[in-house]
Amino acid sequence: MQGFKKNSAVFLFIAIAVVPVLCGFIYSLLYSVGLAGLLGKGFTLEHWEKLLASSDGLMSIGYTFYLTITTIALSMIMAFAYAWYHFRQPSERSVSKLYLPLLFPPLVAGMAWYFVLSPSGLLSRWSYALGFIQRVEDFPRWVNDDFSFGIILTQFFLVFPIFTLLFLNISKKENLRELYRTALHLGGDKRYFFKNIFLPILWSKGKWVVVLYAIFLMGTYEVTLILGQTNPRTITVFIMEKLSKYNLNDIPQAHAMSVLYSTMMLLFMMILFRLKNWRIA
Amino acid sequence: MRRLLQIVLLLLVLLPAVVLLWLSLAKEIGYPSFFDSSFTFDFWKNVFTGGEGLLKSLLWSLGIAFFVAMVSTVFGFIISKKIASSDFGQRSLQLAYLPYLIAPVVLGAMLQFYFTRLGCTGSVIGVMMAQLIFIMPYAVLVFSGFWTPHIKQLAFQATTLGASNYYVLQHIVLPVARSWFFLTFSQCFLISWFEYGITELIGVGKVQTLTIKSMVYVKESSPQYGAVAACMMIIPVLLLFVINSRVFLKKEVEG
Amino acid sequence: MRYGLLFLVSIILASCGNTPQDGDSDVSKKSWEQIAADAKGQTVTMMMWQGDPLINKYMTDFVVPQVKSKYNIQLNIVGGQGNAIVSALMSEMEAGKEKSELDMMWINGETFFQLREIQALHGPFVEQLPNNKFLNWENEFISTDFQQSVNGMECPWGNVQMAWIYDSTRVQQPPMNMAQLAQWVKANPGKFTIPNEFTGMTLLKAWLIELSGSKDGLKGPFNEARYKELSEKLWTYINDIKPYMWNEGKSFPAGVSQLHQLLVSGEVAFSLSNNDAEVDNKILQGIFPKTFKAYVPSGGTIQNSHYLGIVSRSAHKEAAMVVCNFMISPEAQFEKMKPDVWGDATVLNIDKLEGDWKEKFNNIPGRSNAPKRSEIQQYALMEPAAEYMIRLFEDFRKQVIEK
Repeated sequence: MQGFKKNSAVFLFIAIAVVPVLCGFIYSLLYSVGLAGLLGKGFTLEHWEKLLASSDGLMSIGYTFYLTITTIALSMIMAFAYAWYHFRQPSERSVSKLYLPLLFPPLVAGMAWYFVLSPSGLLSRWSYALGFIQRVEDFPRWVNDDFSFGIILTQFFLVFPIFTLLFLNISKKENLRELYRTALHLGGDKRYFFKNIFLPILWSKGKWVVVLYAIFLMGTYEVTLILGQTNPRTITVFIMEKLSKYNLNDIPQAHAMSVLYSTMMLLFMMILFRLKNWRIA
Repeated sequence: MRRLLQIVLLLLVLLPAVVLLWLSLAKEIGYPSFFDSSFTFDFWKNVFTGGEGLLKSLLWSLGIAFFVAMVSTVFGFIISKKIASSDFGQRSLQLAYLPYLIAPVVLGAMLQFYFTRLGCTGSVIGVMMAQLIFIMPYAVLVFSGFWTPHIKQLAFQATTLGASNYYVLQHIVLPVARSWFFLTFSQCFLISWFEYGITELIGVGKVQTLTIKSMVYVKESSPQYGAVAACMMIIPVLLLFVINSRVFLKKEVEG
Repeated sequence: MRYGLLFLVSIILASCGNTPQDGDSDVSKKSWEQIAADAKGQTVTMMMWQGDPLINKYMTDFVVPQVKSKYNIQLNIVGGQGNAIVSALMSEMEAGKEKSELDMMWINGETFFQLREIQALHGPFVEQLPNNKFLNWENEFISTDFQQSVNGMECPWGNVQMAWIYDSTRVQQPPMNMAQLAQWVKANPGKFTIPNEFTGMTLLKAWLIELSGSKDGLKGPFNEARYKELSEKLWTYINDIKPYMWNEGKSFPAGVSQLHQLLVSGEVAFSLSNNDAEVDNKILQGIFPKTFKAYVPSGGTIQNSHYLGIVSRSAHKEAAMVVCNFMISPEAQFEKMKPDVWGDATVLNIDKLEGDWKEKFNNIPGRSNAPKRSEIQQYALMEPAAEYMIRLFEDFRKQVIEK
């Protein structure tokens, strides 16, 4: 009892974080095997079989991973580079502009970038005015394109500033500038400091935020809907289409996909937590 | 080269804002007009006169976001402190990631089911509770970075020197934590301010925050109305942040 | 602190109550006088699509104040359409909620079909409405919804026909049937596409009927063999023009507003609208340039009606009925039909109207860039059974998008 009282806040936290998600997971699981939902007709594995037999369901998982990994990798490389650049030549003004993208909800960012990049968008109009192109068709396809360039750029726009601000914050908090001066003073060179001190410290302190944003990106819906191709689609678009496109009998498949997705993410997190370097404590 | 990079970065940040402003004001957006566009306030006017109560929605949005951010921040501070001092707390921190492992669209659908059972749908309180479910753990996560061994050590030393818990909190912890409060509060505020899916599902359309009203335009209507709606979502927070960061930064410098 | 939290949680839970019930459960036995009397002072929540500022304005500036002053009913409009309505009602039913948060909604065919599947509609109720006598039930585009007889389960509200929209400065002679379209698309690569949603599927339904060679080609309940035969032709047709479509057929717009935008910016040459009068409405709002026109190909397009439904677990059925009755009154229908208000065609039989209403309806300012109703009526096709749409959706993905 004493232990409970002492840790009551922790228990409350666990309750808030775990209970709703657990309930949701169970609900989806039951729905996917026909045991919940208005149209459920008793236990069946039919929906799971359908999901696993369809290539587009599995493809959407691969596609979602492609988008997330590319965006995160790109954002991280650029954020490291920018943080390093800014670390050596600090200026308040160049950082302040990074706050602007934080005010864009994903849907608005998706819409805005669509109008910047599309064949009839802002850049295309500027190119036309400058005489680079003669017709709409001459402008390269940067939205709804084969490599999902538009999606990656938009997600980069949303994530890169956060990573950069995070890294700058860490370098400040960890007194890296002091360290840098000392290192140089002791005859160390820039490259050595960057590789052996700057990068490792930023990464070890910031990696969980990176993981959190990777998870966010896996779950985004609007950006990929506006800027992506109709096929392949991301997991969330897949789920939404099954949830909301007229065929009520497809709803259990949406829940099956959601169970699959959550299980994958859970396994991924559990493996991370097991790794020694990744322990939070 | 550096110059060029700075310009590219500036473009990256500004282009979306420019395009939204232009769309919301341009009279005709047929290709290839841009520099020769003539402007009109009609779309702004129509949005304000077309559906009543935009001001009311704005106030609701502010109210909900303020309350949710407030509760989350305070909660995040208290819980993260307990976790930092608890024997098994550090491990429980891992659980804060859980709400994000379920696809948000599905989290919404399932929350709707349970909230309907509880009879909490269609009300502001229901919406705030639903938002707290995933914003509070986030606040705990953000705050957990604050409780470094250094801070803990500082607080511990003060206590051993005879300071009361209250004194330690007021004179040692809180002053250091001020920027963290601001950071957590503003992030939680933003998440709540932009929240759409769950507010719509739990509010059954009855809780008409600004986001709910704007999103319809952004999603369904023409780009011009969408752009007006997008500006309406962004400008209030922009103002809030400019004011807030001015005041905040000043204090920080003075303090 | 623990007790404080417990207290907080219980306060929050207690404040989440159920909607109080105002009316009696068996409305179908009441007289209209009784219904009108019980409706007074009630609050009605109506869910509808809110994507068009002019339509919103009609509701908030005309309907809401009228029902307040005339019947003392507070009408709350909330946003949501199609699937949002179905899923809101479905999850209420799954959770065993007795009284719904919603009372009435704007629905059409596919939602009607789904709501009937889950038995979420109240009715039959339309015959109890006094203004029912003006409704044009003889018109089968009004009395039949997706091949299902309406049977008083939903109240007709407006009637529309799908139209094609194009820029008259860029296209001089728009294609009038599928064969001409195929030629046009191949001659103008990248300028045509189909939205991968409701409107696009409505186009595919019309094409299925055109391929059948008869206006009544898909009449009656869903017929698997017929669907297989016709849809195979359809996929062959679309896949033949697919490489010449917008973005080489690699992607399809997710919504009709996106398609409109592509038309305005000149990326494509045609857009589609489920409302034959939308082009005038959009020109008035300054969204479309004045050179845009709408037309209906001689191959025909789907004409359908949209309706008002009442939720079976609504606590305010009386007031919802009074609101429905007002919305099909001559004055409300007249206002709605004005091109500068909404331009939605009436569901009333104008010949049955009393007083000078008949004359008023006949003298509504004409359409400018939208085709006249009398001209396109001959090309109107009936909605086929709802299963066709469900199948088209699935197969459009399998047979076209993923190929």
